[in-house]
This record gives sequence, structure tokens and C-alpha cells, in this order.
Amino acid sequence: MTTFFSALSTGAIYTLLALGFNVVFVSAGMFNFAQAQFMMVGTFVSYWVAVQLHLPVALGFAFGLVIGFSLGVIEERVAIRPVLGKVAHAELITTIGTGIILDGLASLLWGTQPFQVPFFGSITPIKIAGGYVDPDEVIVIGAAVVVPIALEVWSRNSLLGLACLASSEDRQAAMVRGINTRRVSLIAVAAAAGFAGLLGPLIGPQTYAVYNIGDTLAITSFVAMAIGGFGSYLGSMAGGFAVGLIEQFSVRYLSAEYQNVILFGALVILLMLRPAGLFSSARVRVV
Amino acid sequence: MTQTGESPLLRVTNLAAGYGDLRAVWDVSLEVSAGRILALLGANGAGKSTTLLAILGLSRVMGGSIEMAGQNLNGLAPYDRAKLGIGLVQEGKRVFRQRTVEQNLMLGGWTISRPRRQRLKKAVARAYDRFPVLADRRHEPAGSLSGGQQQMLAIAQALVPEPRVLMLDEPSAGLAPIIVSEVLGVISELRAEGIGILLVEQLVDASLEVADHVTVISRGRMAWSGARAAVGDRQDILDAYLDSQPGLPASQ
Amino acid sequence: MAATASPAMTAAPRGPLAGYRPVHLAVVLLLIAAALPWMGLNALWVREAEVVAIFTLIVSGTNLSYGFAGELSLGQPAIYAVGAYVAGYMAIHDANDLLFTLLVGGVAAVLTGLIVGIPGLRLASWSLAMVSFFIVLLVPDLAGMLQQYTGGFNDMTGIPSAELFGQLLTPGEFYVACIVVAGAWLAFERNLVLSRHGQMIRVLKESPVLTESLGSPVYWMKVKVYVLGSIPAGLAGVLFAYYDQFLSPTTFGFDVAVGILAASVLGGAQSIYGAIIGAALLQVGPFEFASFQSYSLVVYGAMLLIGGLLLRDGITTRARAGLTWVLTRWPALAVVDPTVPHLMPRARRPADSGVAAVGGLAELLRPGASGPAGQETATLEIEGVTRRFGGVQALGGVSMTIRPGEVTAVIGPNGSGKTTLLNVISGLVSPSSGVVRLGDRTLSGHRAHQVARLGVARTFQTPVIPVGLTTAEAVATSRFHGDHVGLLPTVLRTRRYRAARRRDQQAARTALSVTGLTAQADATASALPLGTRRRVEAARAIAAAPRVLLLDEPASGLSEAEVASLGRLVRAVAAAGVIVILIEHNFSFVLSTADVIHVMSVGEIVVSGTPEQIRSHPETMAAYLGSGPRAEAGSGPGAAGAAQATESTEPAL
Repeated sequence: MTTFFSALSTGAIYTLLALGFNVVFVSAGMFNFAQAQFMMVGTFVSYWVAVQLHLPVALGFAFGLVIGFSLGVIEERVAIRPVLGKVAHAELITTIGTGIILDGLASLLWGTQPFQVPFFGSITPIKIAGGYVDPDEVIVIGAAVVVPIALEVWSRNSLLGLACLASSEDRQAAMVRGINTRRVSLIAVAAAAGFAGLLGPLIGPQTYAVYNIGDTLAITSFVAMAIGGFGSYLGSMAGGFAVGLIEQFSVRYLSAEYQNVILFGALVILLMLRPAGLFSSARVRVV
Repeated sequence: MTQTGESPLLRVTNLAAGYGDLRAVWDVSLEVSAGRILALLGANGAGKSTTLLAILGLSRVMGGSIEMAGQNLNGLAPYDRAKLGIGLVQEGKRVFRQRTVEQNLMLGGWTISRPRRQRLKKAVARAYDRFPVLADRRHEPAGSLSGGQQQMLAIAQALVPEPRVLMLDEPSAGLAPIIVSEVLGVISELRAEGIGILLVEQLVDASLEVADHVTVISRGRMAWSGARAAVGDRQDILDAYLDSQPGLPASQ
Repeated sequence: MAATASPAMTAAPRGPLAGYRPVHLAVVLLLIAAALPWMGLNALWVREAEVVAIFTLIVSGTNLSYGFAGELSLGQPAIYAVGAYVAGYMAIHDANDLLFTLLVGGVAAVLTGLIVGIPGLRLASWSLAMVSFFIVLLVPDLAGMLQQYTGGFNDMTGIPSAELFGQLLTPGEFYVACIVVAGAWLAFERNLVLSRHGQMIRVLKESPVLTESLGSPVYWMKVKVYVLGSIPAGLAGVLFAYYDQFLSPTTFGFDVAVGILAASVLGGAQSIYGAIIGAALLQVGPFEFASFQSYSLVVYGAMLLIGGLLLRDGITTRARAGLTWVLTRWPALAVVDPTVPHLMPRARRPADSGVAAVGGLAELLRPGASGPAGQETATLEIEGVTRRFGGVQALGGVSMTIRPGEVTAVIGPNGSGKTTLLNVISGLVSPSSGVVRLGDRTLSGHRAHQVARLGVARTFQTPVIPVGLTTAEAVATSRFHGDHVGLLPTVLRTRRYRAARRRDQQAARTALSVTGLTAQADATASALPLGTRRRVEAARAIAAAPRVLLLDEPASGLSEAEVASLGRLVRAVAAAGVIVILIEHNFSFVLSTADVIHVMSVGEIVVSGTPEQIRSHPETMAAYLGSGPRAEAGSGPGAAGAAQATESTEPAL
């Protein structure tokens, strides 16, 4: 049972990252590699705030949000806007480059060792249904359920949410309706980045602050998106938890080395049989 | 809200426009006045769509000027021009097919000024009054509507922000004649609300039934321009129209 | 996305070395490189050069799939690892012949490439990147799982030096082997890229729709190119195993992936020899990632960012102008041209100018027109074809019989369904109901590339011309499948290949001369004006010797003289026995060119007949002017009633 809760909590992290990827994908029609590194930045910010500045841990939320958002704005202006739509896949290269720069800066500032990020609440495990789960895990799992649902509802009902969907469905028609599609892209990238930064104090305690965690997180949340369908917020939730479960149960019943291999196998099977994912909005073209 | 139509809302002067290096429009001038319909006719490829897109900033302007209510639009992005009260119903029933009818109407109201929520609610309700068939299908995805219904939705969507000028690009395309009459009837009624209408069409006779003023474009230039009353037996229009459509039988 | 600045090769001043091509320079440099140890290069630099050779292989593979085919892969380090471990294992266990290990390493690379590419390419855009990134993550895990073979996390040690035919290779000889392997791969890549296959790869990058319409299944072609790009990574791994004689899983991590990508981007992903530059950069000073400095990541990231930003315009126009100037004088220097090297086209083939334009149009078209024995009078049957898009009925039951030897035109106002009909015939769109048959072969229900292979060629309303090809090459791409030569004969430039290439040139020449484009044969096709590109598309379709020719608004944007000669061409093609279907808005062109005209409106045919019949038919006027009998309920020919029934039975709308 404890394994189950661990699975949910790692899965929650994948969900939250996948949400960031999907928000940008839905609104700007592109995949921002650096989103994973924004999450890494968030963990370092909360480490910095709590351990190095000795400020209340909860301030990590505010700092993470602001720093993440600012980095997102910079990235959109420098690495994305100049190339979007101009050359095929150029934004892949520039966003990978941005992500690697962030990795590098983190390793320069803090080195390559993992740092423990303290949690703002209690650390005593709670016993539920025969298994143990940490309070921070509970909050993260809760976030991974609440946020996708909220995003789903918001995107279909609020005018800004609809504008994001419309921009990615038909950019020119959106402009004709008066939607500033450039600003929509900027807001999406920056908001997703801010969101990732905001999560620092929540996920840091689990993942630790490590300069290269973004790389592995990006891959596993990609699998989550593939399972749930690209562009689907609810799909991110299903996919994220699915990946968490696959990982934890392969570690438990086989060994740690098999975890990634089994996940890869699952990805291959999924792409061959149901490439559009389980909840697809069918936006990514199936070849 | 009716005006005499003397000072034009939208004035296009010696427009030259195209895409990239390719010029499709060489010298077109027109005026749209409140409460009047200007029909812009021409054969396929004459430059009608390019003109409309240039007014909204979606094609490249290479010369001439475009003014809306006296303000020069040069350099304004399409979304800013929409905010000035220029509405466009694009060719091909271009609604957001994956969104519902209601969501499409809401998106039409993006440029509504505050208090947006209330105004939007009223505008959407008015759209349902004007187009009851949309009300019946308000929660269905726009892509599942028939061609005529999608065209109605596109027009309704463009009307939500109460534009002062409404431009329509071939609203008849792909629609059966009965539906075309319906659509043009709706457009005709909009006059009474003081909206200036720029109607681009391939169908000469159908648009002559609603036009106040007619301009014919041929190969990117003006071939004929005058009031509807001056059209007479429409032979001269047809000659102008058919100039780039040689061979189409002139007699009917 | 226009390519080069100057569309046509005018008679520019030529320098003293004008007759030499990039490949000559490359061969000379290769020989010099191989001889370096005996020219006094010290051992340290020899080792450095080996590393450069090894990385050249990996970077070149990335270039092939990303630069040429447009598919980004980040998984090279894993394939590199596979090659290295396989070679290391074999070497330790006494199967140590270099040629043998290279072969097995290559096969292992192909298998790995298939495992990654087949699922990874199922989705568009970045899914290959992510799936391939994943296998890099798997390297340490697999090394651990296969511990007994690989030494697991304790590393594989004690790999002996390479042998060749039983003789242990000296360091100098191993060095030469590295240079030879790298050189051989680059030669393979060069011969692939500058061939008919290479042209199809460029088509693939430009437009999946065009690729399918020319007869290639997009997915499998992408897999093929990706797997080919994996081979050099495997070979590099084999060489690396012998180089270091020690393997650790940590050598094959993300930093290597990033470095390779950076090298590819900086050296020029579309350059054949740019891989050498990129690989060399990886070894120099601050970029050297063997000694992994803490600022390396920042530097690599910045290189990617800047490289990616510069890519958006290709090389800036000013740099290109300078480059053009230099290359007209020393064309061999195109070896370092990071963009597609078509600045020096046919100047290098004096033999071609002697090849006369053969036979003429009828000769060109005969294979298609007659088809397999007994099919000469095969007609194209369209029966009851409908097509819905969501709630919109784009085609409402279209039936027609189209015969060879006559020109069939389909006309009608915008939105009448003409282009949809063309898309159904060519297989880009499948009908909601109804059948399309060519003779006794059913076309509908087949994918577009299968329909193309059955002899259907088409043009597009907006011309699709890949960048990086001359007009003659662009026209010849349609012959790739009909006159197919396999990959290996292509790369080895066998007689079969060269004969096919000659036939390509003859067909292209004929097609260009009948479309009036002979003067543009060597120009960069994508830089031509719009009307000319339409004619290039028509030439391309004709060069395929099709059985069915579909022309989508071919006269649009042409001058009167050009329209007249297009009309003659279309009639000549039909007279040769091809089934010709023409969509057009230009009335006089249609009336003077077509034998049969179908008028469409709102997804249905409202009237059909000869030009004389159609010209004065009231239905035609009605369809175009929105007037006459059809606007009045129920009158006019029966077809009018059918048209009104297109919309649903709802009364108002």
C-alpha cells in the first residue's frame, strides 16, 4: 500500500510537469523542452530561500512563482518567438538549448550534488489504509488531481481559456476575432513556467534539488502525455499516475534497473497500438 | 443609428497588396458607409479576398492607404484592427470547429469592452434571437453543423462585438441557392442597424439583389464602380466581371 | 522558406580551380589526413584526430536524419553505446577482427534504430526526439541488467587492440582505419544525398503530402532514413571500444547527446562535410567534453540556442552572397558549405549536354498511357462518391466516367467541391461512400502513395516545390518509384543507377521543353515565381508518365501566351492516351481545351457536356452568377432539384 502511495506521489509530479507541457502545447502549438528545467529551478529556489536565506519555507512559493514566470518571459522572447513557425523544429533546438543552459547555471551555482529541500509542514508519515504516506506527498497528489480538473474547466469556460484553445486550433481565425495570439503564447509559456517554479516547495522535498533532474523528468512526463493524449489536461492526470504506478511496481516486484526498461516497453507498445493516447484531442498528427 | 452614408466608415485608397513578393491587388479604392452594402465582385483570383485581408492586416500592403473612421490603419496588427470595429467573416465558413456553438459566440466577443461579462451575455442572447437554429444547437461542436448553419454561425460570431463595418468573403460558397438567399437576406437586414457592409462575392446576380453600391475588380484593378441604381441591365458589370473570366456566356 | 539567392546560374567568372568539385577536395583532404602520422604528427594529436573521426561518424548520422529528413533524434549516444559494447564483448571473447566487429556493430545499430524509430516516428514532430532521448537514459540500466556481458557498473575493461585478418593493428594502422571508416561513411552519405534517393529525402522534409503523392509512404521512408543515420553511430561505437579499450556506462550520457546535437547544429545539419567541423569543435578548448568542465553545459546550451536562432533564416543573405562569389571561383570549397550545395549545378557534368532531348512527349508518356498489357482503354470510374467533413457535405454523390484520349474539365464556383473530388481521386482523402476505379483496379480506400504508384499524378493549387533542388531534379522526382533503383546500387553508382539517372534526365528534359521551362532547368526550383512553379508541377506530373493526370488550376497566374501553350500541352497529353482531368476557373481556357466539361455546384454535378453545350447552358450561368432557373425553386433540369436537396430537410436552414 505504501508502494501505491509512492506511486501516486511520483506520478503526481509527472502529472504536474505534463500539465505545464500541455498548457504550452495547447496555447502556442509547440513543445517547450525547458519546462522541465523550470521545475528544477523551482526546487533550487525553495532550497535557496529556506536553507541559504533562512526565510520561511512558504516564501519559496512566491519566489518560485516570480522567478519561474520571469524566466518564462525571457525564454519566450529570446528563444521561441524569433523562430516559431519559421523553420521546422527550430524551437526544439532553442528550447533544448535553454533547458541545458539552465542545467548548467544550476550546476555552476550549486554544484552537482543533490540538496535536500525542507518541507513547510510536518514530516511525520500519515497512516492511511494500511500504508504510510508523507504529508507533502498528500498535498502533491491532491494538487495533481485538482489542477488538471480546474484547468479543464477553466479552458472550456473562461474566455482566456477559450482564446488559448482557439489560438492553437486556427491562429489566423483567432487573430481575426481580435485575439492577440502572440500575447497568448507569451502568457502560456510564462504561466506554465511560473507554475513550475511555484511547485518548488512541494516537489523539492521529494525530488531533492538536483541540477539535472529536469532531463529525466522530461522523459517520464513525455510518456505520461503519450498515455493520456497530447493536449489533454485530464489525460495528463491519468498518464502521470499510470507512469508512477508502472515505475513503482516494477521496482517493487523486479528491481530498480528494470524500472525504465519496462516503462520504455510500455511506451513502445502504446505508440504502436494507440499513438493518439487514451484521452486524445488528436492534435498531434499520427503518421 | 442610421446615417445618410455620406461620410464613409471605411475608406480604402489606391490599395496595392499581395503576399510576400506576389502582388494580387494593384489599385483598388472603395468606401464603405454605415447602413449600406458595397458589393465587391470579381472572378476567381481577381484580388477580392486579398483586398479584404489587407484591410484587416492579414495580407501585405504594398501601397495606398486604409482608414477606419478617419484613423489610418497602417502598422496596426490584425487584432488591434478588430478592436476598432472591423469584423470579418472569412471565406470557407471559418469557425472554430472543435468548439461548441456557444463557445464560438463567446470568442466572437473577445474584443468587447468592460463590463465584458454582461455585455457578452447580452450579445450572445441577441445572436440566438437572430439565428434561432444556433440556439437549438448551442452546445454542439461547430464542426457538426451543416454548411449553411456554419455560415450563419460565422456571421453571428462576427456580429457579437457589434462591429461598425462587417466584411464578408464569399458567404455563398458551397451553399445551395435557397440557403444563399437566406444568408443574403440576413446580411441585408443588418443595414438597418447602421452597420457598413463590404460583401465580396462571385455570384453576381445574388449579390445585386442586396447591394447598394457595386465595384467590380478584374486582375487586381477596378473595372467598374457605381451605385446599384446605375447598373441597369447589368451588361456592363458582366462585361467587366467577365473580362478575366473570358468565355463565360454573356447573354442570359 | 526560399533557398538560395540567385535563381539561375548565369555565366559567372570562373577561377583557376573551377573544374573541381567538393568531392575532389574532400578526397584530397582525406588522403592527407590518413598520411598524417607519417608526416610527423605526434601521438597525442593522432589520438585527437581519431576522436574527431569517431565523432564525425555520430554527428553525420544526426545530420542525415535531422538536417536532410527533418527528424530530430537525440539517441545517438545509446546507439554508440550499443556498438561499443557489442564490439568490446566480441573483442574480449576472441572475435576480434575489425571488419567483423564493424559489421556486427552496424547490424546492432540498425536493430536499435528500428526499436527506437518505429514507435518514435508514429507521432509527428518531437516524439522521435523524446523516445530517442529515453534510450540514452536506458544505457546504464541495460548495462546493469546485462552485467555478465558488460561488466555492469564495474565497467568493461581489457578490450584488446583491433586485429585485421589476424594481424594486430599498430596505433598508426588503427588511426588509418578510423579515417577510412569515417571517410567511407561520408562517401556513402554523400552518394546518398546527391542522388535520386537524396532528392526524395528532401521532398520528405518539405511536404509529407507531396511525398505521398509521388508514391512514397512517409512513415516508412522516415524510418529508413533514421535507421541509416543510426549506422554510423554504431560504427563509431566499435571504433571507440578499441580506442579506449575500456567502457563505462557513464560515457554515454546526456552530455554526449547535447554535445552531438550542438556539433550538428554548428557544423551545419544540412552539410555533408560539416559533420567534421562540428566534431572537431567538440574537441577544441572550452568545448571539449572529454574533460567535462562545469561551464560546459552552459556553453553547449548557448551554442544550441544561438545555432537554433541562426537556423531560422539559414545563412544570412549577405553571407550567402559572399559565399556565392567565392564558390563561383573555387567550387571545390563548397565542401564547407553548410547549406545544400546547389550553387554549382550542372557545370560539373559536361557529358550531359550531349544527351539530346529524346523522342518527344508521346514517347515519354507511352509507358503510362498504355499501362500493363490490355489496359489501353481503361477508364476512370467515379461512382456515387460522397464526402462529409463534420456536418458539411463537401461531395454529395458524384458519378462520372472519364476516358483516356480526351480532356475532362471540372468547373464550378468556390466551395463546389472540385478540389475535394481531386483529393478523393488521388487518395489524399477517402470518400465517405462510393468508389473510384481505374480500369479494374479500385483506387478508393487506398493510401495516397499506393494510388500514386498505380499511375495517378497530380498538381496542387498551391505548388509544392522542395528547397534545394534544381528544376530538372524537381521534375524528375516523380520518376523515383516508377523507375526504381534500390539504395545500394544507388550509393555504389552502378550501371543500373546511372542508366536510370540518364532516363530521369531525358524525361525531365522532355517535360521541361513541353512546358517551356528548358531555360530554368538548372535554376533553384523553389525560388522561381509562382506561375513558373505551377508549370514545374505540371512538368513533374508529366515526367512520371502517368495513366491519370490531375491538374488543379494549372493556368492560374499564367500569361496568355503561357495559357495557350498549356492548352496545347494538355491536349497533346490526352492525345497520347492519358486520362486528363482539369480543374480550372479560366473559362476560355476550359472551353478551348476540354472535350468534356462537368459543372459542379455545392458538391454535385449539375450539368455535363461538350464545351458547346456547356457554354450556353443556363445551369452554368446559374452556378456562377447565382441566378437563373436554379434560384427559383424546382425549375430547371433535374440536377437542380438534386442540388437543392443537398441541404438537410430542415425548413429554414
